Amino acid sequence: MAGKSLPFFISIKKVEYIFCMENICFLFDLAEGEVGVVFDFVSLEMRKRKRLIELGFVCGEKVTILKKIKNLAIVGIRGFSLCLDRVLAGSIRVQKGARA
Amino acid sequence: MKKVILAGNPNTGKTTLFNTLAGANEHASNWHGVTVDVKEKPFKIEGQEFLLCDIPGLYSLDGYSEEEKIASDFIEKNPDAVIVCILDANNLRRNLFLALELKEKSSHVLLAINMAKEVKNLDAQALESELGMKCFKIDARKKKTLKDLEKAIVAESQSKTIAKPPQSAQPFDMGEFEKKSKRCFFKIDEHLSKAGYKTNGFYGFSRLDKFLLHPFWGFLAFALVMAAVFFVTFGAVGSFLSGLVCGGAEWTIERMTAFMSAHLSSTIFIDFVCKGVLGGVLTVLSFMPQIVLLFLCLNFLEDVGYLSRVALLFDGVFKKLGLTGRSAFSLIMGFGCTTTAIMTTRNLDSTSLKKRTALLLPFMSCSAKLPIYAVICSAFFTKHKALMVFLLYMLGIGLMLLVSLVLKAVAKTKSQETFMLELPKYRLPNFKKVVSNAMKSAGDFFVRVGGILLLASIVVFVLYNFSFGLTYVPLSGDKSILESLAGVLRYLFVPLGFGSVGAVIAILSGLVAKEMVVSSLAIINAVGAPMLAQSLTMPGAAVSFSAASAISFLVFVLLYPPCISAFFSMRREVGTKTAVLSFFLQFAVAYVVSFLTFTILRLAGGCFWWVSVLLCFALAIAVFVVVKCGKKKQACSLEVLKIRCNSCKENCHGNNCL
Repeated sequence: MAGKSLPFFISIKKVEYIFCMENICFLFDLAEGEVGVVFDFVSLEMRKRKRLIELGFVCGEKVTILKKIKNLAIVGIRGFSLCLDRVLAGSIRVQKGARA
Repeated sequence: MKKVILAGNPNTGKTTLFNTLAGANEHASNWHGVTVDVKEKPFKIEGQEFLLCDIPGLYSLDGYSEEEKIASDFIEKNPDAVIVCILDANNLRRNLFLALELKEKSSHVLLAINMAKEVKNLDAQALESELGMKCFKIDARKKKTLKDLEKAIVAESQSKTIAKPPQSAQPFDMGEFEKKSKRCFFKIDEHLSKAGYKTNGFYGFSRLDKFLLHPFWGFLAFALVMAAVFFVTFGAVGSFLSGLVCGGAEWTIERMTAFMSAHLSSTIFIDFVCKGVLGGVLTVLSFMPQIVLLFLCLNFLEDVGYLSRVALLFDGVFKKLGLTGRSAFSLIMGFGCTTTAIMTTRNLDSTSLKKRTALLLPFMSCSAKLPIYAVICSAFFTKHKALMVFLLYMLGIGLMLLVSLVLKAVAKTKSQETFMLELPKYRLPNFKKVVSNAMKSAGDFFVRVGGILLLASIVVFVLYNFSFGLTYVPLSGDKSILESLAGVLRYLFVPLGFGSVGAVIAILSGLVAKEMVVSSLAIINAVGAPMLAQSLTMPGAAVSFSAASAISFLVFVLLYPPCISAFFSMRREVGTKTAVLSFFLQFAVAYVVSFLTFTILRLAGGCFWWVSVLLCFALAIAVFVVVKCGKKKQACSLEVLKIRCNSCKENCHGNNCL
């Protein structure tokens, strides 16, 4: 949306929402050292999603990319480090640069 | 007897606490998923008897993997048991999730905060009042830190069980679960901040990982570590210790023969005791130092926390083979014992992944094959013994990779395996624990030798020395029972270069237990441990090899089906069909590879040594080429996500575009 003028009928809440969605990306797309806040999950098998929730991937939780190795990402969440592959880290949407 | 269940997240120290409390010697290590079954042992506190139960680690009570289901079912079936929930002091923000779930299920929950010394500002009493559960700071390795916990177990076992309201039978709602979890984590954070709990950084990840998990330096470090392990085991240290035991075994046999000859007149009985029983068993036992050294090295790496990094390092390679890094756990365990390694496939997510991993496990050379390599390599490749054994291990790994590619192509699985692994902290290994684990593994080996091997040695001796008419062959000159039977089968092995009756008998006896191969060779050649290697090079001996046929024999031993117990373990874990398939697959691969090896080496003539090195390189290149070709053919198939991939600009979301 950057650089485009907004139609006058869009409410402030909608602007906030659009601005928020602008910063949404997949966990795997974050660079090394970047911090994101868990937003939601995209098309992930139920039990795998449940396991991620048990490990602390709940909406609003802060997550840090500690290291990326090809198709793996070592992430830091709730004080411990966890290695996720591209499929899993690619199905968690996070808000970039937001405050937890 | 009142049950005490040790529950907790994986790798929090449950088995260590189990060993300390009950005086057991179960295998505990610095990676998760070591315990896959419930282990029970009675123990006493203040004269009162309890049954201590160590269950596999779990993240929540609603099981995800098979071993988690075992754990949660066990808790469910024992509502009166005292549950000791072990928490890792460094990781309370996550570990407490299970503790709160357990509190909802049972009224007898005690919290044991392990490695409490590593966290400075933790107020256990404040946490206790916050959570409403008794908390104890412990060090699972030290008995003296467990006194308060033991007293609490006794008190808790005498208190009344408060019936908890049964869980509603409503279908599982993910949205509701997520909300509940969020609330739970929020509560945990609140409780911990009130208890003054603070940790720096992320537990598990270290600066060293930047090097050890590097795509190039990481693999180089792994190769160096493995090479070091082999050179310690088979190099100067291993050979020296093995030589000492070998000398002792020979001395024992000589003395026994002299003593019995002086007091007994029966040649059959003297031969039976000295050549059959002692010759068979002591020959295998003389390789004990090398086996202990291998276990020591593996346990050291486990305890440091390096093996988890290996799983992570290999995930990329394994993904291309249709496996995941988690399969690496089972495959590494395969270097110890195939039977145990097959049991660890329970950790794996899907049935197909479990089956494929189980099928590949026999390619990893188990410790029982070590004596065979040691004998034959010291006979034919004295100078390069360690390198030759290293090449054999690499051949096994290379073939495992090739077969896994074939299995992946045959299975045509569309579902993509995922990989999730918690990184354990690097720790200075506990020397006592490393030695005790190694001694336990060696003890298991010793029991095996004492049991099956003793019996099998007697059977081989009788069948090899008596004819169908029950006459003693060395005196009568008739054909023995085994010679008559193996005489038919030997033609099958002639193309492989070891068509002698003795070699066939050794191969067949190896199906009972791999240790039997060396024992059988010693019985058939009628020599003790120190002379066995030399006897195999003598053309006149009952079993002898040329350099080419020796390599062919080693390759066959490396690849042919593992022992009976591994077969039954596989049958139990992945079904009869897969177990039978594995048996024939192993036999076919062993036969073909052994035949090719022998044919190429025979054609190569005198330069067999270089040819064997080149063959291994050729195999490595073949694996590399197949993996690369497989990569090109892959298309962007994960369209369900409908998200643009950065690499191919298609809808695969990057899953196949590496």
